[in-house]
Parts: sequence; C-alpha cells; structure tokens
Amino acid sequence: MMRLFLLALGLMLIGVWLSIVFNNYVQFGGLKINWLLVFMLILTFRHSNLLLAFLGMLAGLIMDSLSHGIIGLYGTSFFLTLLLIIQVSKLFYANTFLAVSLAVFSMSIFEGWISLSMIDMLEPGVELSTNLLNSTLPVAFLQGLMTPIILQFVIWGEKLFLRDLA
Amino acid sequence: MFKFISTFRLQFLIIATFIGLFMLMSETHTNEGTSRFQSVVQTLTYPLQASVNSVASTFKNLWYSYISLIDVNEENKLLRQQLLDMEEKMNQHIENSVQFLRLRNQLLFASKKITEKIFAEIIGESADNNHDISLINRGSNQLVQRNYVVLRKEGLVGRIQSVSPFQSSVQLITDHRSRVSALIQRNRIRGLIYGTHEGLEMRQINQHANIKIGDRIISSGLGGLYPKGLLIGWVKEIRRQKHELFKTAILDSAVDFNQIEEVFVIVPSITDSHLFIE
Repeated sequence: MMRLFLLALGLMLIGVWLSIVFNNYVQFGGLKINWLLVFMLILTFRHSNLLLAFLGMLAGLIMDSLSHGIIGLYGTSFFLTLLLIIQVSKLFYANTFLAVSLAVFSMSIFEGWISLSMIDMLEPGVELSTNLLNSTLPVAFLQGLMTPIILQFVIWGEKLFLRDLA
Repeated sequence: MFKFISTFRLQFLIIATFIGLFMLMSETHTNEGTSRFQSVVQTLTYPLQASVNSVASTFKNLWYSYISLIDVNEENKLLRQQLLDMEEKMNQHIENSVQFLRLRNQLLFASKKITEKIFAEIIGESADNNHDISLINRGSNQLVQRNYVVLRKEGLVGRIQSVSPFQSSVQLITDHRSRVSALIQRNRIRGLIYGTHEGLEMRQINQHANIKIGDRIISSGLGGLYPKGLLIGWVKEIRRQKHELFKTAILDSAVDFNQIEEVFVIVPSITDSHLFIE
C-alpha cells in the first residue's frame, strides 16, 4: 500500500512537470495532454485501490490550481472518474494496450463531460457541446493514443517499486 | 448509530469528500481572492516554470538572431521605402496630434488619472485545454492584484485571475468564461465580447445596428473591470439569423494570442481603486 502510494505520488510529480513544462513546448495539434489524469487512470485500472481515487482527487486539485483557479472542480471530476473505474475495472482485462487505451479514451471523455458540466453549472453560458467536440473528444483520442507509451512507463515504475505486484 | 457509521464508513468517507470538494469549489468560485492552496501550488511550481522558460527563451533568441540575418538586405530596401512613406504621413499626423493634445489636456483636467504599468513575461499557460490562461512572472510581491487589467500595445489581453507571491494567472479575453463590454468605435454601438474556441465574438449587437467589416471594436468601460477605449479587434464577419434578436460579429483580435511573450499589467490610479477592492 505504501509503495503504491509512493509510486502514485512519483507519477503525479512527473505529471505536474509534464503539464507545466512539456505541455508548454510540445502540443499535438494544439492540444495539451492531461498527464496527471492519464497516469491516474492507468494506475487505477491496474490496481483498483481506493487510495488512488483520493490521490487522484489531489491531482485534480493541483490541475485546478494550474488552470482556471476554481479549486475543487477537477478534484471532483477526477475523484468521480476514478471511483467509477474502481467499480468497472473488473469488467476489463486491463493488461492489454488496446483495452487500456480504449478505457483511457472513454474515461477521459467522461471526466471532460463532468468537468465541463460543472463549469456550466457555475458559470452558465459555456457552450458545453462545442467544448466537448472541439476539446474533450480530440484530447481523449490523443490520450488514448498515448496510453501504450505511458503504460510501458507505468509498468517500468511498477517493476521498480512494486516487484511483488508487477 | 456508531455501528451503522462504522459499517458504512467507506461510503461516509466518499460522501464527505464530495461534500468537502463541492464546498471548496463553491467557496473559491464566489470568493474574489486567490485560494491558499492555489497560491502554494503556484509558488512551488514557479521556480521550475521560470527556469525552463529562461533557458528556452535564450535558445529561441539565438535562433531568431540567426534567422533575422537572412534576407536582411531585401528587408532593408523595403523598410527604407516604408520610411519615406511614413515621414509623409507623420507630417500630417503631427498637425493632427497637436490639436488632439490640446483638446485632451482640457478633458483630462477634470479627472486626472495616473496609471502605472508593470512589465511581465509570459512563463506558461493553463495546464488544461478548456481554458485560455497564461501565467506571468509577476505576483503579489510586485503589487499585482486580482482583476488588474493586462494589455499590450496592440490591445487588450485579459485580466489577472489569481495571484501568488511570484506569479499570477491571466484570464485571456479569448477564454470561454471571459466577457468584455465593448463598442464599435465608429458609431458607438454596444455589444458583448465572448471568448470562443475560434477566437472572439461580439454578441448582443442590435439587429438594426450599422456594422461593417473592418470596424474597430474597443472596450466600453461598462462593468468597471476594463477601462474604456482599449482596442480589442476588428470585425471580420457578420452573422445574422432572421429569427434572432441580435447580430453577432466575428472579430480579428488585435493581439495575436499565439505570439505574446510580454505583457503590461495596469495598476489602476487612485481614482479607479474602488473598482479593485476585494
């Protein structure tokens, strides 16, 4: 448990670095990958531990601080998404690249929909469907494409930290 | 009761977390100040962002110095020709400006406002795709405060959204949550500037308003956040549906938001300070 906590924390720090540095210089089609979300989604799919949902909430709060400033918005959407994954992960065989990619794609859309709906709730007038089509969907697709590479990295991390589980 | 709670403690924990998150969200959304958590995160990430930005700009400057030497002769000829044209135009403008300054001094006499500008560099941007936010390397230590206006010489950029000791986040006018009260400079017709994924739109323009392609759009000063007269952009396209009450104008923004590297934060004058009290 402690090792998983440390691994998740380490991946979160890498995710923060990628979000504030890498994303500023490398964007695919002008889209920024939500690294923190992808790391937490993959980890949760592989381990289904409630601890990861709470760490995901912390990751969401960090994302809030680094973007719009409404603290708790991404915190809630990340937490809800990861809780859902814990419930549905048993339905997936989360050890193939394709399965994890599809899962990350669908869960990214779910997270985007939740967060945009909450923004719409707080500040009416936000074009929900336009944002979903122009931003959430392409990013989810991109995140799904990037998942095999990130998954390899996560597996490497697991081999280092969680030898007995990997 | 305790047995019930201990049986469902996990469910209670999850519900309590959701309630906590909603309260936090509601509090930070309604509260005008920057949250302590955000301030801590931004302070911790600032050294990393600033150092990477500094290294990247050094390399970029070196590269552009090299690029700028290419075709410098052709550019020189072109600039000489432009200079001659400009001198002719300048003579006309000097005459106009003398008259303008005399009249403006008369107008400013009644309400003299001294504004101070804080120079800032863009060191990063929003970590997500849904918001047009830029991070600048000036914060509360340099007296930047929430809702201060950010601009460039080309025009309006946005407003300060949150402040930490060393950096601040700027909500650009292209952000989908941004609204700027504006008017058409030529005939003073009012509208509201919305940020969209495609750029800027001026909405709620009267259906019968006389609006033309190329019209300059400036801030109207209504709402108290943005001062009057800041250039926002030019009308590029006009959309009008018969069933709608208002027209919509698509704008070419005065500021190229993909290219900005430096901005000015406007410190309001004492006479304006009531607008910024939090």
